[in-house]
Amino acid sequence: MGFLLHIGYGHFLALSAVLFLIGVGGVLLRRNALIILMSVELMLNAANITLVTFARMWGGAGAMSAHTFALIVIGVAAAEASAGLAIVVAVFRGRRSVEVDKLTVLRH
Amino acid sequence: MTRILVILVGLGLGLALALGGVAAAQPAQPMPRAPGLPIPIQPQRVQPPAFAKPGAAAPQRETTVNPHGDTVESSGPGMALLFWLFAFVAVGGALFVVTRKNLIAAVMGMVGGFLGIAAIYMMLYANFLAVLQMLVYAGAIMVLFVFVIMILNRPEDEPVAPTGRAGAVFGSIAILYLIGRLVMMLIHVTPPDERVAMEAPAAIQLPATTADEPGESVGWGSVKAVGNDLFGPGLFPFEAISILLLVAVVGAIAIARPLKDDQQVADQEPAGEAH
Amino acid sequence: METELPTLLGLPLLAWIPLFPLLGALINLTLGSRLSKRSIHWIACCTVVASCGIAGYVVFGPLWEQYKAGNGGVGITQTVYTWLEAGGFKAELAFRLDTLSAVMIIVVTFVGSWIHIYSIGYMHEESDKSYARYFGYLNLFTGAMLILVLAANMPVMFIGWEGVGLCSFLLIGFWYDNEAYATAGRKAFVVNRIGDFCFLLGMFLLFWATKTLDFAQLKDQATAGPEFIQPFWGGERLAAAAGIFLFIGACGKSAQLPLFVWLPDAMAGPTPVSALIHAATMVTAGVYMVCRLSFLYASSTTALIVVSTVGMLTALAAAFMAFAQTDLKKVLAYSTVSQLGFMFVAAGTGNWVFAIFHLGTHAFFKACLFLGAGSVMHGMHAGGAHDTVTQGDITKMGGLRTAMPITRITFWISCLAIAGIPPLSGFFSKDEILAGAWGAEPPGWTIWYGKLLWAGLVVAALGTAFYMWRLYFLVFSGNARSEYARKAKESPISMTLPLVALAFFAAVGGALALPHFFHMPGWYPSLVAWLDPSVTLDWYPGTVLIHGELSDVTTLVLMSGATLIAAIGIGLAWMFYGHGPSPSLPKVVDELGPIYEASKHKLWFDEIYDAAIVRPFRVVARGLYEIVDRFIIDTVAVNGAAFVVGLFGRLSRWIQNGQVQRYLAGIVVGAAAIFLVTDCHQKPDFDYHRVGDQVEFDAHPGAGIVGQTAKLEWDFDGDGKPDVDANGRPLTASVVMKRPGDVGSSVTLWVEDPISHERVAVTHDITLPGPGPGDEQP
Repeated sequence: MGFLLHIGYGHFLALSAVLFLIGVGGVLLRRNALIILMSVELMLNAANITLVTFARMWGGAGAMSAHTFALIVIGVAAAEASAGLAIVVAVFRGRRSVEVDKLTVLRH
Repeated sequence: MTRILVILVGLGLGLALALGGVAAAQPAQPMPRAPGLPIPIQPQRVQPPAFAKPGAAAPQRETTVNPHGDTVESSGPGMALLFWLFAFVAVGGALFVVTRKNLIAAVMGMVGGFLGIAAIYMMLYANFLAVLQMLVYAGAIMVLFVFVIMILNRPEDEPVAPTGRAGAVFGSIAILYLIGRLVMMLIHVTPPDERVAMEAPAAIQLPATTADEPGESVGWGSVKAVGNDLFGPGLFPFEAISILLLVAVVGAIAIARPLKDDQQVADQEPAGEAH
Repeated sequence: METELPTLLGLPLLAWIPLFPLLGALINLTLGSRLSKRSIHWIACCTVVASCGIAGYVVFGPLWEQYKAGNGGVGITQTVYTWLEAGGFKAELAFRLDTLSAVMIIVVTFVGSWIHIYSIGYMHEESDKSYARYFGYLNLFTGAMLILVLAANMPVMFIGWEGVGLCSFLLIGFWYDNEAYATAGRKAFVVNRIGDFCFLLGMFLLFWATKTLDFAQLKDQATAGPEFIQPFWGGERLAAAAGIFLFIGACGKSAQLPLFVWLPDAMAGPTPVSALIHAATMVTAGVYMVCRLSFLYASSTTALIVVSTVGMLTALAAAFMAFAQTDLKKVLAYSTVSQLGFMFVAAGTGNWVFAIFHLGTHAFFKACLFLGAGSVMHGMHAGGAHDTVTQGDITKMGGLRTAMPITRITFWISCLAIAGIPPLSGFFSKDEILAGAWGAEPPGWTIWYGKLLWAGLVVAALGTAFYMWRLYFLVFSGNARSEYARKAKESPISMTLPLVALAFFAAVGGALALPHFFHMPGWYPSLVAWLDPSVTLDWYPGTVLIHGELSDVTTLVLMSGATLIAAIGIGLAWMFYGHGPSPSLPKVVDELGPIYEASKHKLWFDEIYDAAIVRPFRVVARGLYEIVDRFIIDTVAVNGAAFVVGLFGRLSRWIQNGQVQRYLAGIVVGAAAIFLVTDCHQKPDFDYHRVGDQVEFDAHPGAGIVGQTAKLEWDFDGDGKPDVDANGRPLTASVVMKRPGDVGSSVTLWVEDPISHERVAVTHDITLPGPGPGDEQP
């Protein structure tokens, strides 16, 4: 069980993969729009972990760009959360529900 | 039940913060390694001499310029303990998000998970990002979520979508398979350069500000280092993201602003509907 | 020596000859409904007359000078542009004027001009729209015919060939609201298509053999190269195959046996059309084509025999069928078929010049006869006959000589000409054909063959004289047999003027080629000398000149014989019809019985075709309709396609239900499937090959969990245990170099999964390749 004791970069990447797939599962299985938004945040964070891990792995001053990129991702996530939550609020106001499978107006 | 879980998450959170701080702030001592254990990375290739003899390797690497003088190997058992702890917190928080019926519990799990991720950042020497993660995610975004949940305050009746059960079943099976498969694959990723990957990252020499004074030497992943990149090559994305945030804020206000008709609808709503 | 022609408005002058009528057609067919009748016929006539003017200039100007200088066969070629170029095939839109096409363009534009003018009077009762349509088609036809005769290569000729066929269809069915007329148009088109298909086959055959379709180059190959006498079709020459195919095309266009059936029906069109298309010009296209390709036919006796035999049989059959017809125009139509048979006999016996000569004289007198018939019908119409059947029914005519004097005189002259009475044009041309047939001695065939041709033609000539004069007497002599005929009036000047002009040329046209006697001064240069350079006189070595030379005495005897025959025919006609149908006629008809019936029903050709071709064809078509169209196309293809689309639509509606979550499930399942597939199909293995004096072993641990991170162990010496290197460590590299001596008979590779510790062993028996560069493993 050496992999438990000796932590390599692969462990961090595997962690990010697990987090990402849990996020996918949330989007896939849940019907509450808020949970789905949170799951998306989770996926973005998993991607960020990958970015930071690779920055550490390659090292050097140039790897700071990965951190910058992760910052940008955090910014995008913030923007997405604000817009997404606004939409959720607007939808809730109109339809008294935030369950995504009930939002079928555009289907017909 | 839910309350116990929330408390558990909170505990994990505190632990994460404390140990994360330990990992980031006190990496000065080289972690002892048990001799004779096989190196997990790249077993069939040339063995890195630095790791073959842990005791002898450290002095050779003293030449690296490092303001804090720390030489950390990320393969020690202490490191492993920290990693598993934070990973547990992060994954547990994530599972909390996707499984809880109560939205507040989900958000709390989310906060815990984000804090665990922040600690993971610290293990990777991304100090500035770790702080930002805590501030922006665990702070701002989560507060936003909590506010929205407070406005809506409608617990899900049925958490899992009843329509499309086949899709959910197949999707879940696929996700479980992918988790196993990706973990098995990614856990063996080897760094391209053992020396860079296993040592504490070298300090970064900032460009000189005046002719006679050399540039400052700052820690890898510190605020100054990230800022140097952010306002250098990353200037355009930085400005772009500010515009994006502005647009998002304006858009959010425009979308969420109550319309006249909505107001009437809300007034007509029976009072007992909102808990 | 090439003669240069000027250009007009950037286009070669020769191109303007067909272009003028085509422009007129364009204007009349597009803007015609908005123009007045006056402008319509002015445009139509002016374009044809302009084209006639240019034709006159180029023929009597540059070409005449060239001919005078002794370069008659060179001709003038002008290229407009390269039309098609694909590989070795190159077709240029090129026009060629030589003495042969010169005769044709003069005839076409000259006769065409008169018929355009005549049409002004004949068609004046049409509505404005039909009037424009009529003149547009007529112009289009003239343009197409000029393209046909001026073409410098076969593809361009084919444009004209199809163009005249199309115009023929359009003009026969001009009064398309009459079902029978529209059917006649379709019949002409379909029968022509059969011929056109064979024409194409012949064309492809020529191109396949000679790699060119340009007339000048084809001629060079025919006289210089061996291509045309290559064996083909069981020893026969290539020229025979190509020539017969092309001749079938000519049969369709020129209404020869067995494809003549469309021409009598083609009389459904307006009479000037019958005159222009179905008598004077289009139907002669086949004759022209045979003469144009004289070098091809000269290379094969078989092809010539086919041409002349078919021509003779057609001349006989058509003359026979004309006896019992009661429609004015149908008699003329059979007469046309018969005369075309004469021309083909001339072409088939190598008398190209006289084929063209007869073509020219026939164009004049037959156009005059048709226009005269039109004039008579017009007169009958003025007398009160309103449907075209009554107008053309010769049993209801008679006594028109007083009412329509100009028409009668011109008709009389033309009838004399077609019967072959000296000194009118028909006598000279027909006599030359008879003489040529008499003298024909095709190598390898009985010497009686020529005499047989001659005999057939003489009988046909007798028939011609008889039925033409029967027609004349029935129309103009005796007393009027109906009210209409009594009230008939002479036609307007625009109709009689062309009659007079054409009759004049029908009378004196023979002077162009007076018979040539060895011991008397002939008119030299005549049409013979003019045409000779353009048709081939160089017979391919191995073939013999098949039209023999006749002595003066023979020529004279034949001439008198032909004249006598014509006189007998006219006499017979006078006997029966001189003062209207004689009272003894019904008895004669009764005695003839079945022969009369055969003539009346044109030898039952239509009935035979109906039973042998049309009905089986209809059965097949019906079957195809039921099986292919109704079942395969409608049910299987159309509805089946809709059903399959609907099925997939229903299936995909289940997936594409608008729920993003289900789409995401698809993405995830797809991603998992990719990993699954890559995991399953790569098993651990290794291979080896020689590099220099060593053997290189390459391990392929496979993808998936047992993948790049797998632990490898080698056993090279075959003892079943993993090898170690010099330091005592296990050999774990994925690439190992070994000297051949160190390798045992079998090598084993163990691959161990670092996670599950699953061990897989791969063993290969080693057969070392011999030393050599780049050897691969077995």
